[in-house]
Amino acid sequence: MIDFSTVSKRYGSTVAIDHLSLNISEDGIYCLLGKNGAGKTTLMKLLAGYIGVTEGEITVDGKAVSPSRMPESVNFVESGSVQFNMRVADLIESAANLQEEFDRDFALEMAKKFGLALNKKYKALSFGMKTMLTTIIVLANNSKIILLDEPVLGFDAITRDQFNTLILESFQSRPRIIIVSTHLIDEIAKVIEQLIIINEGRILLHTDLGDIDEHAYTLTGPVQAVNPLLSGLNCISKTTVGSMVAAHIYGERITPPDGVTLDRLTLQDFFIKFVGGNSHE
Amino acid sequence: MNKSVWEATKLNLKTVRIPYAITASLFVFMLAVDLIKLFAFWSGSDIGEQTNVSIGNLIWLLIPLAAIYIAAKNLRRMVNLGGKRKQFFVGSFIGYLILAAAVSLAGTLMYYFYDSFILNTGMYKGLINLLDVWGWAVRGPVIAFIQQFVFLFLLAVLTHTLTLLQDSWHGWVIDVLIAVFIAVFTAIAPLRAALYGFFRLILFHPNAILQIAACAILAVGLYTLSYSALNRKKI
Repeated sequence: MIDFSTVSKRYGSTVAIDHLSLNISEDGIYCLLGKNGAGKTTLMKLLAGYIGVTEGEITVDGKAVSPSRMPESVNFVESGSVQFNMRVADLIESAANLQEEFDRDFALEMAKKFGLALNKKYKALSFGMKTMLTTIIVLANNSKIILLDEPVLGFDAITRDQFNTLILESFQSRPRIIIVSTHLIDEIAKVIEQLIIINEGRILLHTDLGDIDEHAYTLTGPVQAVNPLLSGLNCISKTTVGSMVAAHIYGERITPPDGVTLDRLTLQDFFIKFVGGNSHE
Repeated sequence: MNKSVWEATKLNLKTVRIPYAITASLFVFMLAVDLIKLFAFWSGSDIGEQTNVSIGNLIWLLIPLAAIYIAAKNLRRMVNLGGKRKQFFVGSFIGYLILAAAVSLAGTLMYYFYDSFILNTGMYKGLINLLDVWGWAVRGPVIAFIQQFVFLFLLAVLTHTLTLLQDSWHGWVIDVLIAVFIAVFTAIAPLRAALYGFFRLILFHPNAILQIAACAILAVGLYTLSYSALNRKKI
């Protein structure tokens, strides 16, 4: 359904996306992870047809994507995106009139569920509620592909939880491809199925969450006990403190010998070790 | 008409509040000035003015202001509501037609009612209205309305296109080219004649049908060309 074929995007001498190839064909909630400036927003903007590629080709359902051919099946919510300063109810009504298969009932139900006052004007809403409204409008669309860029930025913990519930409920009622970029990895882990890690404009990893659960772990123990185990393992990062070492592994799971402990890596830790990748002595 | 295109039109017309407010404020202010002068004149004061500019032309200000606002601000917001560039393109076109018609109607009514009233009071010896200057009023109110309407529509389309282009270096190059074009054409006699011919055609040609056709064709042609600028506009 989504196909990036050796796509590059340059802004002057800055390379935002570097010969990136990516294929997504199954419905699911995907998490796009990357450091600041890794290329997440650019990737989403390219896919939505907001900006054009410098090289390569992007297709959605086999049709090339560009600013002049914005794909009908893709809807993108940019971080901090703005709306007309109208009442919430009017914005939902306008969205329903602009989009052919807009689910007005879903939008109104979600607005009510998340405490959005239908009579309030957009500018009178809090930052979190503004994002929530924009996301509801996008999720109420029948688009096959939804892109959410840093949607929970600036949300408090309760709103973040509500937001994750909103995404999950939307997906359950209408399965499709939802790609969410965020830094708050462990919270979104409750709802995502697939993980895409991007770094310096390239895809470092594209896998399902079960794979991370299964293959990402830490071996902790004395240096002389841990180091021999590492040959043949994909050690993504290592921290040595005195005579003790913590080796972070992404690969085949082993049975540790006595004196060495094996702990599951949280998604956040996995991301930090995988992308950071440095060893500390 | 397609429901989504009509929604895009409505959104454009509803959300240009700042242009509405600026135009309305100026209009009310100038109207108040006119009325104060009138009361002063009726009470025997010498207002000391022989001719004045009609405030009816002030309403025209709404057209370029709205076009700048729509082209600069509304595309992004419409896309955030799930709209597409094509809906914005067609919706803006219809919006400009409606705005130009409304402003033209108001301008024509001001000319035939308000200006006539002010002149009949004897407060001013003359009132300068562009409908007179460009000879649009000589054939009656209907033709005056149509000539004014097509010109205002062309003005809206031109402003819309130039505003869209300001996003990229192309726009700045075109701005410079227009300035150079006018400067060169004004300085050299044969070119000046050509420039005069162009403005005569779109503004004060004695043949109203020719003026109407020229403005309409130019506006539609220019708006069609603006689609490529719209496609390149970053969201």
